Amino acid sequence: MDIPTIFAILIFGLPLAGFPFVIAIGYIRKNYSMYLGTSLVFLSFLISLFVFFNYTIKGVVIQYNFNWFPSPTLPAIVPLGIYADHLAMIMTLMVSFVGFLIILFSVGYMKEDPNRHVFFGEMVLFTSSMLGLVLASSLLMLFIFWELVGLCSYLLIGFWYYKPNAASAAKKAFIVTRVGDVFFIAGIGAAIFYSSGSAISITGLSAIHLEWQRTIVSLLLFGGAIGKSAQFPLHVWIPDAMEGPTTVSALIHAATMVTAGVYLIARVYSVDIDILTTTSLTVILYVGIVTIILSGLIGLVVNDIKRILAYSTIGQIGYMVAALGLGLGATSIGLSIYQLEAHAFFKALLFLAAGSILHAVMNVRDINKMGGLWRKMPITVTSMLVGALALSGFPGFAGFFSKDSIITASYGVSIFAWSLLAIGGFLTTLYAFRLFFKVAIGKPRSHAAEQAHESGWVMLIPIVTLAIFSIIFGIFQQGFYNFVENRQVSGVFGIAQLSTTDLIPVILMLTGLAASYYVWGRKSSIPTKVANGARDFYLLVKNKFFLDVFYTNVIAERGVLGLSAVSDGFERRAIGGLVDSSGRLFQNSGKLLRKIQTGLARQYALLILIGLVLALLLLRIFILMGVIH
Amino acid sequence: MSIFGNYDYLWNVFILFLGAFLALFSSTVTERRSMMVIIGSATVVVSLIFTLLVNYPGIQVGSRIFLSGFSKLFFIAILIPGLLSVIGMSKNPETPRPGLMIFVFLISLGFMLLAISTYNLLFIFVAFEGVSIPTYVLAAYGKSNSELEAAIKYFVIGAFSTGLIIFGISLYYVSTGSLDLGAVAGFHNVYFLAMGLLVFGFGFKLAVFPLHGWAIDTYTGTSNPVSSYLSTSSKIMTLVVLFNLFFTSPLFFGYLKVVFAIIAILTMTFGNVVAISQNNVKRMLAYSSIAQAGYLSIVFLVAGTAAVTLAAISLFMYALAYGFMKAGSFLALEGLGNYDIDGFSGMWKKSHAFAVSFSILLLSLAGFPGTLGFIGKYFLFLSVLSTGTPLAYLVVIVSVINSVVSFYYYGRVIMYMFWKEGTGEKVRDNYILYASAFLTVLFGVLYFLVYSYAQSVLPALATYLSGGL
Repeated sequence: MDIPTIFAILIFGLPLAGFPFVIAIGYIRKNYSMYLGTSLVFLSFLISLFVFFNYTIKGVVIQYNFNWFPSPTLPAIVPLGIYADHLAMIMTLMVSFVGFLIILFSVGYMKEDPNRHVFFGEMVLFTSSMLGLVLASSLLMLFIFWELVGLCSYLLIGFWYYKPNAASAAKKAFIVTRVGDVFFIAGIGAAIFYSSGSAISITGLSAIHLEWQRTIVSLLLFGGAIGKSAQFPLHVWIPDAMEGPTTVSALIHAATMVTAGVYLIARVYSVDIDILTTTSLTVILYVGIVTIILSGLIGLVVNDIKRILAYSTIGQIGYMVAALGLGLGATSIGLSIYQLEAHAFFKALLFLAAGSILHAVMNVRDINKMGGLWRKMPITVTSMLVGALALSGFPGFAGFFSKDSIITASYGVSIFAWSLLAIGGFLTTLYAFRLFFKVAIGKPRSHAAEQAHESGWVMLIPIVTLAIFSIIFGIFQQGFYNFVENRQVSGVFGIAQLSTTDLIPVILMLTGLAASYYVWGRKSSIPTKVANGARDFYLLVKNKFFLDVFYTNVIAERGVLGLSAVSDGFERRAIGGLVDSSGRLFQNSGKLLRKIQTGLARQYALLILIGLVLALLLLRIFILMGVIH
Repeated sequence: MSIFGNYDYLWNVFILFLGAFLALFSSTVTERRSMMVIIGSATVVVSLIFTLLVNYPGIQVGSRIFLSGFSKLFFIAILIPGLLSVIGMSKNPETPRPGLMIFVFLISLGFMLLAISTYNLLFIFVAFEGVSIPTYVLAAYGKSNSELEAAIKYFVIGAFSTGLIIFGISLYYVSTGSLDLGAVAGFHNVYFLAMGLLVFGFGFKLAVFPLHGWAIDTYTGTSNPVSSYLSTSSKIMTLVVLFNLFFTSPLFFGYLKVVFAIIAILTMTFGNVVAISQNNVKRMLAYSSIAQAGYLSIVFLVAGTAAVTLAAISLFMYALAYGFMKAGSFLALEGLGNYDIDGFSGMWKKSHAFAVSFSILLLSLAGFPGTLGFIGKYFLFLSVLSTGTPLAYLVVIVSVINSVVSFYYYGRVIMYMFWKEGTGEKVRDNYILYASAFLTVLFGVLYFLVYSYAQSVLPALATYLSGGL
């Protein structure tokens, strides 16, 4: 192994190996865990930087495969290892950097929690599993880290497990993503089966030759991505997941978890451009678009500050998915991953700002009870404005370059998709500024909001850093595309050329900004009027299109519970009976056989003699039959 | 630096013998038990380090001894449980003359190393008796009658087997005119008879069905360090002797496979099934050690195929695992008043470390993934399966079913330790147990290190099977 390989393994290996120590050291002093956890992720970021620059100079993809179960007679059973190409490196850089900022923020945010050593341990494990996922060289290893990410999200969402909401939200997140995981593992199985074994390593995916096989494999993998990346119809876990600590939400939404699904599709798409067939591309594109529109509508009626951000995440991920679904090859991956990283910055920013606000208003999450916070906490709320501008794609901010490029690119693919994506952008602006105006301006609408004050510097540093990145990230656009699409490092700065179609999203965005000021930025009765005017539609949206109700009442209670009653009966009667009776068989024969053990040495010798005679008789038979001679 | 020419490669044996006499002579000065145990364990450690450092290139020592990487691997597999057992002797068995006990122990350990490095039947016989006689003595140490009874049974059956071995060796000489392994047979019928007798003669120390009778009473009756020693080092030595003996006799392969398939199936089934109905944990461990002998003996099914190299590697891994698990679990019983399963209830409350480590060893014995026991079994089954014969499949399937059955009685102890309320005083820290449990998991996770080490040490097949003769 050469130095870059070792370093690339250390990127995720260091925090992975270190997380038990983070928890353990907390038993000495709780604060030590915070420092150790933060420095582990920071080290991981430094190593990623080193590996990244090493790659930009040498341009060699780091590939290292290690045979998990060595055997001289059988072929490799499970290769594990790392595959660090341009895509993986740009991801590790982002994940470790944003992860570091969020964990740094947690140092301030969680400083009074009695279990913070466990919290930091889990955060470090979460980040390292995501880094491992990104660097995995085989689908199975990717799956292992995928599940670790799922496990960590379960642990962290339910971190305040004594709150019933948090406990059930954790379960919901785990179960819903598990539905996706079933598709994912089926996809891995299908890929390995159709490629006759070679797809066990990611690069072997191109060995799947038939079109229908590729469609099946890619759709199954996309099923996994839907669960993890919270796309329609499996997005229902994400709003509930807001019950966890806000930094957890930030980590889930910006750096880890939800980007895993997008990364999975980008990963397979980048190693084999043919894996996404026309059918699967269409499915991917429209799943993304439906998600954008639905989440945009729901985002307009939700009052919980974190849930609004959750729906915005669903929508923004929808853009990434839709970008992949455009089917433009490397361009699609560039668009999608650029949106992913820009989103990571401004979404982490928005969540941390929200966390800072919640810290100040004693965790009252209803935006109707906020207001006027701009004056009380200027740095936080100004940063939030930056985040909201970036989210809605105001020209010059990161979101503009990432999202509007996707919308423009879709113009050449399908006018229908383009118009829906543009409307989605309009909705994004509406709910982003609804949130901002309700929080920032006007008069404080509760006692807690009146008492609010600015947070400490440990929390402000990450927020301001992220705000700066949300503003300037756009200038890397062209360099980023070059790197991801063509693996070139020429030209770090520069933006893609703008065209006239870019104008329409901008106009829509500005309209949305004006409209939301008109509706929510001042005292107005328009929201109530609209809600009353279109009562049925309002209720439909307010109830999240009845998807949760459908899942709980119809699928869970009618379908799954009935099925589980049947299989429970089968399990108890048939399998349980079989197990019980075989257990009795062994126990009884044990009682019988132990009678041989008389404790008399002469009988043992006799037993040996009987055995010997029988064995020699067998030998005689063998000789007579000519088996041996 | 050369002192005795090629005999320098045998310094690990010499060190053991020298240490034995050191213990004996220093017992005239002092009879402090801790001193003697330190001499004993230091001797084994030095011998182990010597073994690890020396490279055995496949070298002829004298005219009867041949040392290769194969011998090196099993020197290690014998010395490690030997080391654990001798450290365990710091409390039990009770004796006024600990120096003598360590002397006897080290002598037998030295002969074990000799027994697996020679390719001459007479030499094997001498070394084998050099192991047997000191262990008869060791088994008798202790103050109660149970040790004495255990030793007598061991001795009687041992003497009986010696008769079979002698008979087998003489017939072998009649048929081949030589006492070297792998000699060409003149009279085939006599040759087969000789080999059949040798299977039963040497096999008694392996304690396979139907030669197991003494083992259960002896393992249960004698003190824990001696049980651990008899069920690990002595068993691994026997297995390697049988390996050397049979893998050099191609004529015998056809019968060998069938008879060991039968023996393995009977042994593991008997051991597991009877272990289920035991309430005494030490006796349960004795039966489980019978069952483990069954798993170990399926290795003979690879005779004469390309899988022998893999089989040798996996045998090493399983022997290593077996040494840790069995020595660790027998020695864990030190310091517990009675071995009844009720005594284990509430163990988690009494000592977290004990409960966790003992559970790890039991899980490893059952073949739970993540432990060295699983890895050993996995590779052993893999090597047998890769021969591809229906017999191999049958034996492996039976073995897997047996592993599942064994979860019942291992799991029962774990259940008692964690979920049953119990009373009783605290349990003393047992560092041998903790170390074995830790190493079982460590090597179970990083097994590829062990695997690649074994692969790098093991020489080409022909080098060690022909005995270089």
